[in-house]
Amino acid sequence: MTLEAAVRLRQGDLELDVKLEIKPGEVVALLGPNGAGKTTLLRALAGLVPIDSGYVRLDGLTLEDTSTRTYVPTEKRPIGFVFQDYLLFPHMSVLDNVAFGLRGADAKSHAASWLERVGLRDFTASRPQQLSGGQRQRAALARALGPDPRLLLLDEPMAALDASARAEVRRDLKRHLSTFEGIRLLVTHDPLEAVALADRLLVIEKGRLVQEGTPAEVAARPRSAYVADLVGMNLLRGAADHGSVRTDGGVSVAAAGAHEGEVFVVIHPRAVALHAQRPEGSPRNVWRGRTEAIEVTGERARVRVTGPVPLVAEVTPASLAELHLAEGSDVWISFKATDVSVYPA
Amino acid sequence: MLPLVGLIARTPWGDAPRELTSPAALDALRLSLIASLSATAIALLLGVPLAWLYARVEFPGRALVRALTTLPMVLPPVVGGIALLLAFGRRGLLGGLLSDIGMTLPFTTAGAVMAETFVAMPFLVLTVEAGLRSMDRRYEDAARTLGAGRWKVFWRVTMPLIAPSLLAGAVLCWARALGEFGATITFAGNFPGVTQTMPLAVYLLLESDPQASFVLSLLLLAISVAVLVGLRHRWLGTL
Repeated sequence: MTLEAAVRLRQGDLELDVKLEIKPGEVVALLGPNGAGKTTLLRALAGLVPIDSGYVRLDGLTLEDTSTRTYVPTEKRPIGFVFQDYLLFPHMSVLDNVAFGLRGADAKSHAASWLERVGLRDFTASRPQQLSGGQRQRAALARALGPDPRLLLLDEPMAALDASARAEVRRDLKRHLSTFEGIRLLVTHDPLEAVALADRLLVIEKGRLVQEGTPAEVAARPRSAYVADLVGMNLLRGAADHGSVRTDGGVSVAAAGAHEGEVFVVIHPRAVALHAQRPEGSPRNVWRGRTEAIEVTGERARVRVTGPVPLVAEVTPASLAELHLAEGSDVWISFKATDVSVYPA
Repeated sequence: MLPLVGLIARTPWGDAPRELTSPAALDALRLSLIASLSATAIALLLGVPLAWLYARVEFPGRALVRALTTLPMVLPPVVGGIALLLAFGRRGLLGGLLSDIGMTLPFTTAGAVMAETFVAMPFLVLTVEAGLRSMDRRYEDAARTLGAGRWKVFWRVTMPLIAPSLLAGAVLCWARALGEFGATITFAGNFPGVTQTMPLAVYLLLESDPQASFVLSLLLLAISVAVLVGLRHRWLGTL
């Protein structure tokens, strides 16, 4: 089971142009900021929004192809869709919701066994409004999986939940997703959710695919400010010239292993040191700056500093006190050339 | 307020039961119920698909067609009656065709039903259209991802979700049909037992038996108040 799709469409301000391929059994997360086109892409794969040009092929079966004017309507596509706020039909019982997509005389008993599988046996006669957020999600999952789809699309499956319920619901969702054998594609803007649920991430920004890879690969080598911010890294971009990188802002950063061409430069916030006086010794990258914002979480403090390039430094609250740092203080910033990782843009 | 107070004050309460059960009043009442309920049924049959068309399908001239549909709401009912006569009367545009197949509409109960439908249907169309426009269409998307074709989506998801609008539209339409006077008397005439509905009877009785006319008026008023009370949540929120 493979999903191959190329989707180009324009909707309002959004210009979506994404090509993707998902291999059998993969759980893939579409990650991106609000308005990036994630939900629109999902709806296009489901046939709910028309694509201007491109194709959607599932398992060799063409669901849509603008070059041959093929369009299989949504109701004939072998897909399951879990909507952001689940959209359980409010005028039906939970059982009837799950049975809605099933055919034949045993639709109800089939629906009942699905509800049992997701632990909702005692709620078959309830109305969706009487369920908790997590229960609704499981009912929606049972409803989507009931007709035995080959592609399961989930749109922000955790967004409608209270923060307190998320961890548990995510665990449940991961377990239920693992029992489904088809392709699973979920949309999220929460990196934690993406890492917890998916084997592979596709990052979209402004309608374009900007990066893909395993969560570890994406975290280690962010290719956009959005991803760098998500994983808490400092990301710069510039031209490499044997041992240093000249950033787009004109600042030269010493970087071990920088060769030639357009590169990304990543500096972990822990590698960025702050000093009250100009530091002595080995760091090759030293410059003056000013603290702009300080954020303390537990044992760590993240300090946003402006300077030739804006950076985030991670220090202990103790050193924060030692340096007498407050928002607006002048500081010296340093990091070693060996702590900088460089890769082609 | 004053006219209502006047009506209530002048109603001969003691005679009310007798007046209401007089053969003439019962005839008018029976006919009114049959005609207004038939008109509502026809309006549902024609009006719901029309409302769906206006709310969901973009076609050239939609605004114009929609405006024409709602025209009877602002048209003087007597003009509507004359228009119906010119279209379906014996010498009307379609009158000849209709009489060839043995159908006469003017001055029959069917004509009264038609006049009431003509005047009352826009209330249903507008209410149902508003319901269709304001519902969360993603429920229809959800139904489609579950393999439901258009028909199943419409009957199992759309209609139940807009049930409150459907009910309100039908009640408004029925109340308007029940009170219809101008178009009915023009197109269908005023024949007791055939086309003489309650409002027509009230008007006629005002000359011959004012007491009876007051009682029937009060009954119509009571129905209007009941409709208003029943639908108050729609207009006044949760008062």
